[in-house]
Amino acid sequence: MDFTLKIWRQAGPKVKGKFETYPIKGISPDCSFLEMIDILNESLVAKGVEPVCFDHDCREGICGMCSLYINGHPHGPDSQITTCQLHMRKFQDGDTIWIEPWRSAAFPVIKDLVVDRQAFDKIVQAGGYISATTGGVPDANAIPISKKNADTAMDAAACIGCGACVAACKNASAMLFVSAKVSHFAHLPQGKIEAAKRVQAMVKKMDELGFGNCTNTGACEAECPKGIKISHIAKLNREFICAKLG
Amino acid sequence: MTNYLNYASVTKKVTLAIIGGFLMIFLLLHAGINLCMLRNDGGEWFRAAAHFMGTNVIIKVFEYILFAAFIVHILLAIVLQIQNWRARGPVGYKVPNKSATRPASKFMIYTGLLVLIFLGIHMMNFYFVKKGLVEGRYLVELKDVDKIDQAVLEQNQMQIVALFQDTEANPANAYGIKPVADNLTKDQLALFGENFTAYEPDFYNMAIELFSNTAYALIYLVLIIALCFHLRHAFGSAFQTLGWNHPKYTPFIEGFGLFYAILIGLMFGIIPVWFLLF
Repeated sequence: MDFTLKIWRQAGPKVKGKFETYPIKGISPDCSFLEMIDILNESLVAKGVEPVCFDHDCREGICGMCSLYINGHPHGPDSQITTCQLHMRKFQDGDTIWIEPWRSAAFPVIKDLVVDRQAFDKIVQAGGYISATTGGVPDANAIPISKKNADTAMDAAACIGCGACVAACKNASAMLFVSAKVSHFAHLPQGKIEAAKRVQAMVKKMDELGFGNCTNTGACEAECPKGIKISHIAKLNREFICAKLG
Repeated sequence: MTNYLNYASVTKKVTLAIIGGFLMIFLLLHAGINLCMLRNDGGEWFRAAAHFMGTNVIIKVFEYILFAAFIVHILLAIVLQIQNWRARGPVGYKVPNKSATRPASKFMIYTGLLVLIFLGIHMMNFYFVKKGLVEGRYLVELKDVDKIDQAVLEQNQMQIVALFQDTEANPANAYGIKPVADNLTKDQLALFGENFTAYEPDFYNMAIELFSNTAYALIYLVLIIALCFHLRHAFGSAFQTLGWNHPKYTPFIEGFGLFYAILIGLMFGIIPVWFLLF
């Protein structure tokens, strides 16, 4: 398959960036999107051109490291996958593919397609944990948890912190990410103890870092590679209101 | 204000949602009163409703709450929107976002601005007349004629009687006298004397006059459609912001939001259409 790639190139955080056009030929339909960029980079290195910088790690959709805003979709046009799980067969031969970094004031571009997502770490540091020492592995079912709560907490815990929700949101809001963390803990007895303090601290940090305000458009839910629902955002709102009133 | 800007995003949104809910109830009430205009009674029901809304003490208190609600809702929405625009960062996307989103959710600030324009026009046309800031049409009820200054009444008796004369020659009314002298201009109102205050704005005739202007009626309809789109997202969104999301009930709430938006659109929109057609 042949493609025309329009890739954002930016030499450094303070430098002005621009789109560069790279034609690429003979790509296998079974090639993953990141492998396709690897092939491009090899050809660029061979030509003595600086390769395109992009984030990646596990390449099996569980680490949350890969990003890329591809043709108007974070993680590309397919649903509930990360960019590393996207295959070139999802595109048409001869397509022009626009590749942009996540755009958010809280995620500054470091280089090319790599953005600094430490803002998410800072939000987690503000309260996305339980203070108790966990000790060794406890016996299964030592703490009774209803099936429903265990399932909901597990769904929320599936968040890999990739930032696609922020990238997709027209307001660059981090509410889906923050709500996944809040909801995960709030559904479990260990997390309930600090729930009120946690939700307020995490929302405060999220606001401080310059993320936008959620307007319930649902774009985050549509693009989340882990299928996290905005019902968790409602849960965060409930937790927040109860924390303020209580 | 700077203090308020520091309130948590969720606090601001919850405030916006609660006020939005209040405004949605108000809209339903307002639309219901407007529908009285369609009754073929020369505006009797509508006048009675307008009289109640203009004079009832509880309603008058709610009028201030309503103004405060509108102002806070608008200011909060603008503050949140500016923060949202800034949150995208110095460089935006080249390719516009193609994520599937909820209907009408992406244009709330724009539909909101259209509703604000509508509100401005509406205030100029009606509310400011009530406050005496803009000249409109007025009405005087027959029972209030004895409140006219005696000297003035003697002087202008014939002209005042003429204002109450039923020109449409209602055969059921033996004396040809209407219970209300309506559609009075400011000059005609002057006949009742300077000290006469028992008049009310004649919203019914003012509305009919406005809607008889096709351009006005069309602009009104366009702005009502903008309101519909605003409400389409607002209803379900308010529930979500208040944390009321449930796998069983949320689809119903979303469906009811659509029903509510269409209902409000029809209730307001049918009136100019009616006057354009009949």
